[in-house]
Amino acid sequence: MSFPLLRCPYLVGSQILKNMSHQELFLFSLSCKRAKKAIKMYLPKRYLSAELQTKDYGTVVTHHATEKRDFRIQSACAGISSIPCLIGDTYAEVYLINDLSLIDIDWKSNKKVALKSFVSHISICWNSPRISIKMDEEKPSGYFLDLMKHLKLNAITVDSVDFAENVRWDLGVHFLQCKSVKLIFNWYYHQKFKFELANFLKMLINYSENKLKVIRILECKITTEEITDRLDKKGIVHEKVGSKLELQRCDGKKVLIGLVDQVLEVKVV
Amino acid sequence: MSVENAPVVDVDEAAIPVEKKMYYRFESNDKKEFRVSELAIQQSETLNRLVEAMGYTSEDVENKPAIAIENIDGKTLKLVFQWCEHHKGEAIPVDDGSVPKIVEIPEFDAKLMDIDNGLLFKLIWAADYLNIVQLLNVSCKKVANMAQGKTPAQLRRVYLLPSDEEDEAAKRAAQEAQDPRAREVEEEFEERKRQGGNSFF
Repeated sequence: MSFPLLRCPYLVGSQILKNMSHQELFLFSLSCKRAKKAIKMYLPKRYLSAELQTKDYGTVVTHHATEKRDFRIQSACAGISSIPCLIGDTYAEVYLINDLSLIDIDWKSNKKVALKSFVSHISICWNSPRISIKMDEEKPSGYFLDLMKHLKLNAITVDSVDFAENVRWDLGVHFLQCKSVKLIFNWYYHQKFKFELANFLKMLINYSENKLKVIRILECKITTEEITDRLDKKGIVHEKVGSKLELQRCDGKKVLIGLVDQVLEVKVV
Repeated sequence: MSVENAPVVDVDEAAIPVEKKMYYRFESNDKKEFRVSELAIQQSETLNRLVEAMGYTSEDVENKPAIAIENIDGKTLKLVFQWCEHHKGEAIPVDDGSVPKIVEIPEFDAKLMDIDNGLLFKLIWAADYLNIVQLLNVSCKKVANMAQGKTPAQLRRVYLLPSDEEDEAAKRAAQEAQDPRAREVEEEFEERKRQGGNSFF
């Protein structure tokens, strides 16, 4: 039983692909170059959303709606026969598990190559999806930098980043490319944090082309006075409006800084 | 007032004129005629606009020739109108942008679409042409469901996709058919390269 998909009118092809799940589209894109072209032609850009989770050596993409784990990268799949596929620039073994509700991919190469291949492939097979990232790693900085680099190379925008651990503030320039960021205060570098936060705020108010809407820092053990002190030292003009600090951005928008119950929230309005 | 909302009273039906339901006549490209109720036609945006623009009365419908649908055959049109009659009066769905689309195939539709893929292709084509949103939704869902549990190689067979090698070969054949000299030039170029020449000319 076969169906001539490529002979369908545009709307029909588009409807068929929109009715496929993430996994089906992923496997469809692996079938041949024509399938990849069909996805690009029929699916609107950023139609799908995916959540990239990283933990140890596994990168997992989940459905937002069902929170079901769909893909595992570089996980052990002993005892199951695999399908060799070209993903990104490199060959990988694809394992279909539990009636395709889970797909394991093993690149037999290092984590960086796997990440690069996977990101370049999802940009094709889901036509530049909207991505949110959950970094579960103990030391996420290096991995995050690589991930952001590959996402940028593939023109994939990031909706949100959620760090489960402390993170270095020199990543701040990358935060500006995400719509929302959540992280935990790095208490090891208390003094440095104040200094870097001020630098980050300076970047935020001086560059209007960034995408950041909100950044939340949990367990933030500094005071509003410490922040105003740093802003004064940096020469950043600020105004106190109620319990919040208000900064003027170069494009006329406002940056509001609020600190409630050890949660520091920087919001662009 | 619609027929459904009309008050129910005991009357002698023969004594008063009853407003007749209007049935339009359509003809397929193989000259098969179908009578379809006005309410069923509303499922098709294309046909609904067409009959509205024509402004036929009950007499016109009977006396004038059937409305020709030139590019759909009788077998397909029968399925389309069966579907429209069964779903007449139902609201036309609006795309809610859900990802992936959430479409349920009702039992009647599943039975109606229990056909070979050639006819299913024609049915989808007709649903697209006649702009029958829900029929297009369920039929596309059925085609998408064909991907369930398939490996990439199986998907290629299901959706009649050429492998990369077949695609390349077809491209080359098409190029050669367009320009028979191209192959000769390519061979000549390869030969000169083997002989160590740097330039073709």
